[in-house]
Amino acid sequence: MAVKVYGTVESACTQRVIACLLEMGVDFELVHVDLDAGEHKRPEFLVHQPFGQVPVIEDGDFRLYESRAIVRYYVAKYADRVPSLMGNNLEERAMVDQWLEVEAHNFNDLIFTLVLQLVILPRMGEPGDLALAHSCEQKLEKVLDVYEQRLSKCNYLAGDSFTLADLSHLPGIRYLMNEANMGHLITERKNVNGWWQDISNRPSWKKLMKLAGY
Amino acid sequence: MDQMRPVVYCLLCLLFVLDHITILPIMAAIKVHGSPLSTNTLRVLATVYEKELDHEFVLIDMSAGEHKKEHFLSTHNPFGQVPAFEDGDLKLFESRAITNYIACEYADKGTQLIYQDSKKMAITSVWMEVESQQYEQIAAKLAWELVYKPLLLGMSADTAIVEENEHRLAKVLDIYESRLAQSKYLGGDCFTLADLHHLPTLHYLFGTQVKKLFDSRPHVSAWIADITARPAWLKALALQSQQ
Repeated sequence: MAVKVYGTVESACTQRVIACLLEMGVDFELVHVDLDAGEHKRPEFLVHQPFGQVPVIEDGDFRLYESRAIVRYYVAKYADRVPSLMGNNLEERAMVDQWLEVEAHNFNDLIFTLVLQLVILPRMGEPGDLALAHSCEQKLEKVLDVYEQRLSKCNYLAGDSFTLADLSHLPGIRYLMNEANMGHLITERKNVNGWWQDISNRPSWKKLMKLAGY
Repeated sequence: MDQMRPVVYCLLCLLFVLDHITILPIMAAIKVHGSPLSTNTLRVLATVYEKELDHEFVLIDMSAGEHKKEHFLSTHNPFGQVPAFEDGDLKLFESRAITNYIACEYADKGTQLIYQDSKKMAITSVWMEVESQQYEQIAAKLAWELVYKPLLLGMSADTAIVEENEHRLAKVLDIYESRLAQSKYLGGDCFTLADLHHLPTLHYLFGTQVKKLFDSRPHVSAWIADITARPAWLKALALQSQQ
């Protein structure tokens, strides 16, 4: 039975889960949640995700939310399919975890705030805080300098293989390069750009882009 | 007497040597670099104590900006943040990656902090993400305004930011209240990293006006009383008064 993924194909967090399921060859069915109509804030939805957010997965009777918990579960569940997505031993796994945490704590907030101020609020007819956006951009420059240095030493964030740590960045960077118009942050950095070209050309990500109609 | 002289001579040589050699300390394989005032460092220290692991705590002088200097950046954490961690040759940063590593590597020692069963671990993992994505950002903002700003910068809190984040925290805590009415700990029946990760910010917020938000929710309040009384947590906190 296919895993049901409740969310939207445009939502960064839903994309994180779909990208992982595509990488692992796990059958899934995307069940669209109408965010514009506030479906995710209704009682029926809150029963499954009390924070009123997407995505949620339903695998038979088993339900999970929080995209990073979901991807970790599936990588562990199907470790025999693509074993290196979480590293091959405990030390490699710790490195993957380290860069997953970097994405969650040093990277994601800045991207989210940028996209909120530059894209989402204007779309809703509200003015974005350009000073805040600029401040995020400056902080992101410093963070990406660290990535540039890291990627001068190895091909991928956690080492020499593509892992969840790289995959987790795909949705956010796509937003940065497209709707937020901040592609220069990536293209100005040789190693970061090379890494982005590599990971965004993976068949699973290209399949997702097609699904999303980009 | 003549037969005693070589023996005495040997003993004297031995004593001389013992007086002059440096007894090398057994170097702990595990090192935690950070500050006992830092929530992220405390998260790792609590885990190390729960697992009863031999370790060395290396104090980083944050007021002197040690964590932003070249040596720290190149050796321990290029993002210039604490904690940093070593276990033999393995070097890590990001507190939650460190606690996860410790919980797995030393699964057979001290308190069991994760589940071996994949579905139970997945549920625990959900609440670890909730702490990281829903709770921490709000709690850290409140701790900054109400604790660190006055303490470190002598500045008063921004009341608008405090009010907004108290409101957000109340909503999150309603969800916790609901969860803890069904489950003794966030991940299930046992104390795990999902609970432990909350300890440092909880500790700071308890000393502020935000305490009322926790006290007014009976299941949350009982859970906090339980987890903050754990000996390992108290040991980690004790480092604050030693420095």
